[in-house]
Amino acid sequence: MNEAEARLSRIAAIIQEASEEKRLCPLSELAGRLNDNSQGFADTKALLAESAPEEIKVMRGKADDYYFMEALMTEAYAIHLFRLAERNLLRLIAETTRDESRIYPRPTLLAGFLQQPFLISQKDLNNAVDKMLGSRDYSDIKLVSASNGDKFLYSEKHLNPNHAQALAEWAAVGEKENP
Amino acid sequence: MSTTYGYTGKVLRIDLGSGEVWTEDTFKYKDFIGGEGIGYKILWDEVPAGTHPFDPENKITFGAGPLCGTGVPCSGRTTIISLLPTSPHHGAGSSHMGGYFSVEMKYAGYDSIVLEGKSPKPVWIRIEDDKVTIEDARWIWGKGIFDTMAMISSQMGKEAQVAAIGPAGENQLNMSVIRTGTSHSAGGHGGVMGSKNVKAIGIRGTGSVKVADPKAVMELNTLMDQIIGANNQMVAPSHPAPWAEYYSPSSRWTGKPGLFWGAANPPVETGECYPEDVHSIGKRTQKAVFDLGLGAEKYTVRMGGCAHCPIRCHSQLKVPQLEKYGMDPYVSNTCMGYASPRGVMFKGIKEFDGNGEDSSIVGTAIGATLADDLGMWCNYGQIGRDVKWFYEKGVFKRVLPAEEYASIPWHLLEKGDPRFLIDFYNRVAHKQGEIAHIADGAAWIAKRWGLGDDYWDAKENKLWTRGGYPVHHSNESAGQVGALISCFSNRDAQNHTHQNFIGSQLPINIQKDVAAELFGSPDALDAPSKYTRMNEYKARFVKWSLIRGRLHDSLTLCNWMWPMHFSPLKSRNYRGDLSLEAKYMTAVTGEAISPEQLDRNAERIVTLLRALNVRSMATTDLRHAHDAVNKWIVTPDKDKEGKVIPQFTPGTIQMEQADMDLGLGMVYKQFGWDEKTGAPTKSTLLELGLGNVAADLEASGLIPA
Repeated sequence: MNEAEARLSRIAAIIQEASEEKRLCPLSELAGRLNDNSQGFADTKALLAESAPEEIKVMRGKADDYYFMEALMTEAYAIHLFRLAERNLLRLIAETTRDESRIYPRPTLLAGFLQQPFLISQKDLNNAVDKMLGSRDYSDIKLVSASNGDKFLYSEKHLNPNHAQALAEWAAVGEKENP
Repeated sequence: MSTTYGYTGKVLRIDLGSGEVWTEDTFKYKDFIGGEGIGYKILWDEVPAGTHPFDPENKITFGAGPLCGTGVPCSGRTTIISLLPTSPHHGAGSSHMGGYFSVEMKYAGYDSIVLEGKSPKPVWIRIEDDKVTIEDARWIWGKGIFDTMAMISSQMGKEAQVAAIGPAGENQLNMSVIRTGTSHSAGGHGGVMGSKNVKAIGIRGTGSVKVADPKAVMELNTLMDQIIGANNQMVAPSHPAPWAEYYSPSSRWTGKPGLFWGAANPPVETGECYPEDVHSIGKRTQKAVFDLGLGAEKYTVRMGGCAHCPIRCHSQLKVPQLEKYGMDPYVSNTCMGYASPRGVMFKGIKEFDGNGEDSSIVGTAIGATLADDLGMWCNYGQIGRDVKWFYEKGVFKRVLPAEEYASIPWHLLEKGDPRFLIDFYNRVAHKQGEIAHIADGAAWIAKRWGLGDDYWDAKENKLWTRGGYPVHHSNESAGQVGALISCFSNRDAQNHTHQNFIGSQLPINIQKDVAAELFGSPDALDAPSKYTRMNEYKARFVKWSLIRGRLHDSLTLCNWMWPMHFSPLKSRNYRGDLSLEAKYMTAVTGEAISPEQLDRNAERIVTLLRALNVRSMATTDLRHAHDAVNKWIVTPDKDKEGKVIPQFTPGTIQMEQADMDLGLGMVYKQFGWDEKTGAPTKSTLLELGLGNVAADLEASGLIPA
């Protein structure tokens, strides 16, 4: 095993460890644990770009890159962690909402952001939603309430208001009365 | 004696009038698979048209199928078949219970038990392998089901399985159950047992069920490990998980790190529940939290369930507050068993002297325990909607004698005090007063209390047809697919084939892909609350669902898990295996059978039930007499401003009369029934080997022209 191969093996082990712990491995963490200087930092990034095994996936953020092992973590879960790591709550909430309105389709239960892996505080969540609903960047994101008070967000790009209302009511009330 | 595989080869028959006990060969019924199929065949051959469900001439069959008792996953169901007291034409129907009863019945050597006649005095049936005796039941008559089970077990041993009725069944309430285990209730037939003066069946079997190819069964079980999901065969978790591509808060796959069986000693963490980890399958469904909310976590001792089922879907709780109400703190139930008491307490639940934090859980547990002990059936939640309607619309005030009305503690209902449930359930189960007729069932009570169209056509009442049964995964479940499925039985549809499909919690595009593979077009399935008009692919979906429902109730497999449309594994492209029933049948019985052949046998059972309806309703025009839905289903919704929301626009699940009419015809055609009336044609009956049925109907002028 040459030096590059040994380094790659060490990098893979660190990324695997992070994935096993259900978290992404930022490049900055890799550099720190490998005791890289600025040149080593660049070399690590280049080495991963050129020679990383296929099971190592990367998500490129504004200030950092984030790695994970595909065998231990789905891309869908990694996206949640990536959005959290990017520390843009509005974007995290909006993009999650858009995905769910498009894929399933369903409105997104607001209280879900209080749970793992998001663990957003109620106060931060309320502030973020208030800001989002008044923002032009997120003009497609709308709020809908079920009759039991549960609140949901949806994207008008993928669900119309009546549809979102019906799905929210069913999720919050209907399916519990019709188990 | 030659070895039989899967089947025990014997049907146990007991004439309660004469006391005669005998067996007959199961294989004379083999074309009807087992369980439900055998029960319907017996009703056709032996119970005359016009028989009242409580007449001695009626018969009741406790049925198991060839896969029951073999270790096939989710094969612990018992199907009970008889005439239905709630049905206005006393149509045939099945009720179902999980638990361990049917498995014990197979181990004792019987595929089915048929009770007929009427005992002159209260009795219970004691079965220990070949030894079958009719025992005096005076010492348990009048007891609740919990005491009854304990008392019978004290004689037979704790290994015995007991199916029993409570006071509701003894008093021949139309809406009563037969129960086994801690919480497995078969709703609808308790009164039939009561009418025969049979309190319980206790059964102990020391034999086994022979399997032709045990190695093949084990290999199939290994395959099942890759396919089985959580309760209702939901294959995506309720929360984002590192192993999952998809998730849905509606999922019953609730197990996750940090969620516990909190009252276990020590508490048990459900954990990550990786789909490849077969040892955590039983932790996937933390059903207490799903049914009762997060507050139920700390009361959860464990999850319970049925024989040979890795999915544990009955939550077993310890709710200490119940002792204040003079009740045992241990409670077990699932789904509607919990939802139904909450429906009765429609103004909410508050503990009478508690802190209120968990009042809904405490009140729900009280109701579930009472209903299970008294043996009352809720008609899939209808009893709660009826209480609300009759109270708010002044029906109770109009029909109950003034003295009786004044004696009912309505103030407890108003305050949300669960002691109302204690009063209400006891009055009804013991047939005390006019209010007890609420358990006659909607069709009968509508006549007795002069309820008009406003009752039938109120959307909030959820009554599907004038047959008096409510929605059960109807138009809210895949539009016309669920709506049409609900038209063909004499009680709530109890069909989860389509519900498990749309309830997989996978994205709509994956579901539509599988629908296309199964039914020929992705148009067989619409996205939730975004329905399109009827098409032939939806009719195929309906036929498939009805057939597999009857198949599972005959094999006997749990239709709340089967069929295996989907898998939680991306490596399987999320596909399940819809030939598994046939593969298991082949491995268990040693006789090769294809999925198509097995489905054809189940189709025979669907058509036999249809013929039973023609006979009991004395008309071929089932389209109008049986299958016609109530008006609320085909009435468009209105928005807040009173503007009509047209059907087939996003956000409404309302059906349209012309479209339903078209759909019925398409389904009739799929089954080879007369497209105008929906009655089985002579040629179809003959093709299905139901020549005697065709001859009987023809002799009665009940074959469509």
